[in-house]
Amino acid sequence: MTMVVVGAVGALTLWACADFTSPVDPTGGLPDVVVANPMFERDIQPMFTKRCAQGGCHTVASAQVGLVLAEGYSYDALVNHASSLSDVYQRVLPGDHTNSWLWRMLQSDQSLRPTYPEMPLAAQPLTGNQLQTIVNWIDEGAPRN
Amino acid sequence: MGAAAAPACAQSGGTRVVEEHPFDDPEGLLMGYYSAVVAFSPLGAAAKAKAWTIDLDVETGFIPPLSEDQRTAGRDKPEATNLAPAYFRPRAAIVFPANIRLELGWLPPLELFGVTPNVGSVALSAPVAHIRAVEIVPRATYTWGTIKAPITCNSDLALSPNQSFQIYYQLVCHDRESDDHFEPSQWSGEIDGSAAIMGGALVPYAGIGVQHYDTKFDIGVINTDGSRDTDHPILHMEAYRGFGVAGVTWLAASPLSFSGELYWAPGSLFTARFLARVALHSK
Repeated sequence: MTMVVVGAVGALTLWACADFTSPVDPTGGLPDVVVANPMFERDIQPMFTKRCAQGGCHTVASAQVGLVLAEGYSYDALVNHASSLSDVYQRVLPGDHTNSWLWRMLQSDQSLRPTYPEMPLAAQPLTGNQLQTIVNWIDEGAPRN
Repeated sequence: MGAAAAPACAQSGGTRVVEEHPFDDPEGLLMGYYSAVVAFSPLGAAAKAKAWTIDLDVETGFIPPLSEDQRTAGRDKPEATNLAPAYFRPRAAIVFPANIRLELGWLPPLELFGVTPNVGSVALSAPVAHIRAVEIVPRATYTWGTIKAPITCNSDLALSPNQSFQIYYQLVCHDRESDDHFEPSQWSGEIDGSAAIMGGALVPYAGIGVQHYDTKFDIGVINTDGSRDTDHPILHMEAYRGFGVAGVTWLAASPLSFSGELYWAPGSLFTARFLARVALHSK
């Protein structure tokens, strides 16, 4: 009887498992479409709010690298505002996404921002469509609309 | 766990945001998993006993490790949720007249594998019917308490080859392990059935039930001054979930008995639990 119990214990423990698959949503719960003529409040701020203005990151309370991306703060903190991580780039230079530090920080290409990790930090990157929407907004002059 | 899932909240001052999660999102699934881990399952057939019998039990259960996908909770950064591979829970029960059984369980605040629980459980059951040789026993439980562990910010992040994780630990975690609080508050109702076989030496049993989770996960990032960083939300998940148990009690030699049980909470956990019991004043 003892052997049966010991054997059963071992077998049952081997069967144990976590019975779920964690869903992966690469869109981060945001629209995954390219917006040709994006509006800041409608198309851009929701990305900052959902992916950046999170606890410990770019909230009012934490303001990592002095940057707040919460609603009501982000536009002034970005557009024509010098980057605190680069002596060369503005965070957002209207009309020129390649010379905007924001765009560089969101790219997977590490050479665009030596020594700094891709944002969002330790999280899934924005999708290609979401990044293109940000590019379109910057290249259209980064309007406050 | 879950700083990435924070809703649109600009925060200032010391207020905490409570972030609601459905059961089936990554954070909700993790909270459901650990709620199932601490569920107060019957672990033994409710054998008839004389009034005022007292059972003293030790329960142990296997906590299956989670895969990296299950631990990421929608992020790249895995949460340090594979800390403890098992738990040990002292239990006691007293049998009142009419075979009403009151059970108590406690995961005492002893740190093991970096995890410090303090979780109490109570259950009440009584046989209500016999269907052929099967005794039918409804049982109700309530479990509550706190489990503390460095889940969001674990020093393993600082040692990771992933630069993003190192920076996360440095900037978001302030180079400190977090003091996260997992706070289950859950009740369940179940119907169990058992029948003695082999001359009463073995008593197989099975049951099904519903569990109501009201679980919080308080992200406890610690500032450099030792205070709790209130910029992080408290995650909350509330859900009704079904579960099932099947096991067998071996009446080894009075007053000793042993039970093994399979516990399945669909969508959360399938595991094995074991219990050793000493029955006092049972004659």
